[in-house]
Amino acid sequence: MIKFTLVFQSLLNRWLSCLLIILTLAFSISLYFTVSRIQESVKASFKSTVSGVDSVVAARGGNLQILLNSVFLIGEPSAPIQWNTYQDIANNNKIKWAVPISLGDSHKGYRVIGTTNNYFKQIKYSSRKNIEFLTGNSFNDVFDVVLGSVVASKLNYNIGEEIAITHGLSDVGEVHTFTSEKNAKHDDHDDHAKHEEDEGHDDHEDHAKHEEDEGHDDHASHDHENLGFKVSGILKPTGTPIDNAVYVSLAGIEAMHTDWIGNQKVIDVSLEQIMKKELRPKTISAIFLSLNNRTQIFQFQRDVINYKEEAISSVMPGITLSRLWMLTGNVDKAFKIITFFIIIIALLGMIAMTIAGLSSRRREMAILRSVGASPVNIVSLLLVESIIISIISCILGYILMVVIFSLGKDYLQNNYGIFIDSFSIKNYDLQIVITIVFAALIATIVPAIQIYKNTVRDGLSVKS
Amino acid sequence: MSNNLISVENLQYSLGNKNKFSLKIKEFILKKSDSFLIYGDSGSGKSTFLNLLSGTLNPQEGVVKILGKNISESSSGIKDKVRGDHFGIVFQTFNLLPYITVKNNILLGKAYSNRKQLASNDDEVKILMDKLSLNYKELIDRKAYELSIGQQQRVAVARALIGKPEIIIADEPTSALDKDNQNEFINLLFQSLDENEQGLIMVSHDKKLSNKFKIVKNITEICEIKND
Repeated sequence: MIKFTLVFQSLLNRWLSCLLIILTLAFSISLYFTVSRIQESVKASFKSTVSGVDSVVAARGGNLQILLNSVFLIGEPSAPIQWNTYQDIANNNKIKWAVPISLGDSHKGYRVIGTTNNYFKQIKYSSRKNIEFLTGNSFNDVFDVVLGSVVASKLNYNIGEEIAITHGLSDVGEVHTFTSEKNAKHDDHDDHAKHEEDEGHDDHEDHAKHEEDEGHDDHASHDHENLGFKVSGILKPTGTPIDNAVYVSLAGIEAMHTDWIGNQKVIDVSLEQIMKKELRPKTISAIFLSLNNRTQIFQFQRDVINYKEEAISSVMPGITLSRLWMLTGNVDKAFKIITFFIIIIALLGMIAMTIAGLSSRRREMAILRSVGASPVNIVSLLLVESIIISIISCILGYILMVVIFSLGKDYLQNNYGIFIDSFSIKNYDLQIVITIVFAALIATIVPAIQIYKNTVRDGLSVKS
Repeated sequence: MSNNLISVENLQYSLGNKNKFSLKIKEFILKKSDSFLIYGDSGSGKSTFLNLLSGTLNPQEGVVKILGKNISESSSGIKDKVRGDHFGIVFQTFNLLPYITVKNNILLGKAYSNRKQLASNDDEVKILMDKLSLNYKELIDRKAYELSIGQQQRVAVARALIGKPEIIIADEPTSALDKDNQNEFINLLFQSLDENEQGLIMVSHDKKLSNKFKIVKNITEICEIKND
């Protein structure tokens, strides 16, 4: 008992240097925890997002960009493809199903996906689980909106609630919404112009034309307070980017883009009628599809490449993802190596502190020797010190990691679709804790040898 | 068993490779309730002598017996155990770990010895402190660095005496004290000894304090020291 008191009091006696060492170690350990968790969550969420989609067709571009953009909702949308192209692809005899999606709008920072009801039927997540509704249904009307679980819970929306969709990808949200248009018309306009510059949206030209035709002032004079989209369904949590999206029918997207919403009558028009008329989209962003026979994927890709009407490409999610892992694998490794080096530096600091303390502790050692402590006893005191320091550092590192994630959780979830369960203890946590305690013990060998030599040489003669 | 607490025969110790320093002891015996004052100039080998007796230095030749047990061939672990069990040691100054309490400093005396732990009970700290004129209530929970030098030396004696070790070794324990305190310290030390059992060896650079000791010897009478 007194020996433990001795170790604790001895550490407390040197509290400042111990604290600094503990902080350095804790920070480096929390860095490791954070990096490994992000890496793991990124992989997990990417893996589980793509399921059952054999190919993503989009305007010709980098495979990775197409995938990141269409499936993971990361980055700026790629160029649009024509609605006719979708129809041609959907009519290809190798296709089992094809779901069009239209990106480029947002609601309070959450991405809006324009799609059809088929999306909820066909798209799967984490090894072929169906998307399920927590409450409500898919779209019955042009202005129906289906919310991902995160969106619904974060924004506290319920079925039947009316929401406004931001035109364009505004992180601020509500900059270019239909409900706020009247109040913030001026800002609104600037922002709109900026969006056009930034994104080069083709259909914005239509949009602008439309505005000219209808007359903006006229349009703004309508009472829009009761207009907007209505929540028709909320999805069950999936732990994928699906949770972070707002789903609107293609017609709804088109209505928004053509400012048809300015006309009250539209709400009464059925989806079928609108699809037949002006609300059929001219362009979409990408097509998710599945083949009748997956072995035909390369033939299908050839069909896509040879498609005459416009330049499109077909991306196989699985292969593109594994390329991404190959690409990020080295970054992963580099990160881990860097954090390991940081931990090693912290441990070196611990050795330095211990060695620096030794000479002033020689008297202490002589006293302990006089009461019968063997050099091994004294070395073991030193080792216990290291174990205490490293375990406290690990605990503090874990707490820091939890703090980092509880602060950054929403940001990661909303911006990158990365879901992190910060409180969970993973089996590699234990591994790293054991590794660090061992490393600390090994690091203590140097001062331990030193102290062993000192105690043997000094005996009872007190030197200082 | 004889009355010999320590007996040394034909001991030879040399330091370093070229025999620059060597120490020989033909015979030295400490009996129960003996009290030795060994004096000599600094650098005369007093510390080496004490280290050899307490088993922290290993002689090249000869026999050292502690309570009849020959430890000269024993491993350093056994020597440490023998020292922990049967010795109480007081240094010149700074005998205490400054960052722990008086109580823990005294208890440290028996922390590495099962024998001492069995031989002492919870009251012993108080009994020893009373004997050494240390105010138990006032000082027990103080950190050692808060004490005066005189108090520290007396706490060191309490640590050396706890668990009733047979052999008490004091290495110039009074050198940091002024004259009044020196006399008081020696008086208290003798008063605290269990005179029927414990043997005391004190080394000092002068022999002014010799009146209380049974045997007073110059280090050169015990050891033959070469220092080239």
